Amino acid sequence: MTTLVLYVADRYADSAKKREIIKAAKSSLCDGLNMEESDVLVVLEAFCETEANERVHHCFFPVLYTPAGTPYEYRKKAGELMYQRLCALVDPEDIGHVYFHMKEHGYENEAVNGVLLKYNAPAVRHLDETRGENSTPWLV
Amino acid sequence: MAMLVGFIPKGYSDEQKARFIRECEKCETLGLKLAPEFEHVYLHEFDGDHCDSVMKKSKIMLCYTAAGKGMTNKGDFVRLFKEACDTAFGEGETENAVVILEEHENPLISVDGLMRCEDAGTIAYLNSLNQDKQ
Amino acid sequence: MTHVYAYIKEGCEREQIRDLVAGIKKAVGEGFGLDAPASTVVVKELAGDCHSDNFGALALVYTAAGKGLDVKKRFARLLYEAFAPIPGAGENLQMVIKEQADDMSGLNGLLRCASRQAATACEMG
Repeated sequence: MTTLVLYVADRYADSAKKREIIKAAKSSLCDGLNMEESDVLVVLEAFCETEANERVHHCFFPVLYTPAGTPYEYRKKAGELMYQRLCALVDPEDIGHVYFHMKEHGYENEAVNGVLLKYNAPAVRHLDETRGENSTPWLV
Repeated sequence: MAMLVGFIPKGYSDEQKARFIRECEKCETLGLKLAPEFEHVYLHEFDGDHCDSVMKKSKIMLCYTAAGKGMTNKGDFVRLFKEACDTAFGEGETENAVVILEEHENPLISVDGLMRCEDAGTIAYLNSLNQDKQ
Repeated sequence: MTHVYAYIKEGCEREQIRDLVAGIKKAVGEGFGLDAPASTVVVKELAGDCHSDNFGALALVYTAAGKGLDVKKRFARLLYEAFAPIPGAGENLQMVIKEQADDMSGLNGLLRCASRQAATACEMG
């Protein structure tokens, strides 16, 4: 399971907008990382005026927690889509930046319903089927 | 660039929290040696029912940042966070001033749709900040 | 120190949340072999418009690096038991463990690697 925690200022996101943001973030990950909807979880951290400095009110801050092994090209695509689709929902004068941090973890560091991913053979097979080898084109 | 996410117990005034946010901004500029345009601070508060007794005496700073900050800058950052807690909330108020550094390599960061590892200018800037190499 | 940041759906009774905090604390203590002062637990309730439809509960666990596989396996189970009474959490609890090396965490002004006292205080294994 891939999880996204997305920080956004609630000054620019009422309830309907929040749902749109979640949908856009989820689709960016599904299309970019080549994952199914059921494999992607999105959590919104909508903060208010006193909970942040002014600068962060003008950016989206998605943090991705995903099992290690996502190909570089998939991550790159997810970053591009995340930027396009989130910014399309807001006035660029209000929110103009997307700082997308991706955290990877080993299979022994994730669990669903008490079972480590490392011991969940069907889930691992599912991940392997949707992902290929890591690639590092920027090193070529 | 760094994104700081602070966790504190509820009960402080708006002035104290604003002061804490300002002090945490300094951790980024004076500690990690980042330019002010990279100051990003978020704050979470938890009331007594939503945290354990140890958290009630703690302040936690989670720092998401690109890898390569160097031991000197990280040491400064941690020291400055302790000072931030004391300045904002009073000395002795915080039993545990905790810093968690979550670094990730440049191929794992996308800024405005561009992968950090494909942005030579920003990488050069960030590399110049590493005090350990100087 | 170990820190757990738990997300659940809003709407639980205060008593349930207090029990969850205590349950997570117990899971950390038993699972990682830590004394009470060596961990913190916080719980955030999410409104319905702040999570995707497939959300049940999420636990982010920040802890010192080096926990063995058996330790993590047991801890995952204990954590799941702590969340089980929370509506929705039993069907879909996600847990992610983020481990930090000694130069990636600090306590009271010192990086863990720079402080032998901090490095040995209450952490085992």
